[in-house]
Amino acid sequence: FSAETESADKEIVPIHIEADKMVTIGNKSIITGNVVVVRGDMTMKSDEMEVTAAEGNQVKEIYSKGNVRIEDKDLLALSGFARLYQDEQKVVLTDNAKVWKGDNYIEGEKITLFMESNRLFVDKGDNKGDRIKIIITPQKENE
Amino acid sequence: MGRNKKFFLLVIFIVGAVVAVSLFKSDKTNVTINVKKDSVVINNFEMAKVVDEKNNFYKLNADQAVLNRKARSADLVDFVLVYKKGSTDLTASADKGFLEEEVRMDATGKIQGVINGRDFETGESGSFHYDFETETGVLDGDVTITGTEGTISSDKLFIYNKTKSLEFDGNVKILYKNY
Repeated sequence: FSAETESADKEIVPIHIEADKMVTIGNKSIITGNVVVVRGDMTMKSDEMEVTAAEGNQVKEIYSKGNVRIEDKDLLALSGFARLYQDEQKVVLTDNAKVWKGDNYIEGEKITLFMESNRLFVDKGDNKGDRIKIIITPQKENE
Repeated sequence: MGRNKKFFLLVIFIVGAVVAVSLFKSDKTNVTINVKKDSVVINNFEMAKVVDEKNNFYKLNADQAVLNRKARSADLVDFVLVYKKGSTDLTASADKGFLEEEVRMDATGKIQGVINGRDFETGESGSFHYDFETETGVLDGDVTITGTEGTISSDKLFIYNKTKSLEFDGNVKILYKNY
């Protein structure tokens, strides 16, 4: 599976951001005030955000801080911090991360969402006594 | 030569002289020049100046420039300024402006241009102030900046060229194309 085909298939997803203010220094942009990011079907909100651009000023990473809220089709995620890795198409939620996926619920210190493959990993965190909480709602027979 | 013939030649000469004078007069267009003290008004104004030994320069075109030589300044109408010095690589055009040589520029109206490789423009009633000494500027009034990576718009934009930073303020909308 050659890299060229892989990159050719890679979906081009523009990122729209709205906010009150943005300061750009070199390849970093600090975005503050009612920050809303829309990327395909995903909407991400937070108090503040830091966008790191790669070469050619394409978004490489988005680091959201404070009251992070992510909605994507039937997924809702809340956390203190979130880091979106554009190339790997994944979001890492930390600081009391909670995810609702349909009728299921997952909670942990760190949750990683893989956007392309629709998978997620949950870590309990390093502190003794931290635990993961998962509530899976069985689907009804006739559904 | 008979008297009639002489008279006839004289008439022809007089008519010829009158026609010649009227033709010459019609080429002259009436130019009224409103010259304030120490000011010179120049239409279709164009100038370029190398400002230092590193060949940094600026180039100015304007439909009209009112130059105040004492103050080394100019009031400009429909002008285009190209300025390259230090970390400033600026091209700006606007309806009206004021330039104090190598000190500052103020422009109003629809402002368009390129700053350090990025296109910028304002709405119809924009304003742009640029300080050539501190290499800082303020662009106001529906500002849009376009680069290869995408587009950014905001109410106001602060430019700090020495630190290569931009500050977008109010209603910030960003589109990263991300191809």
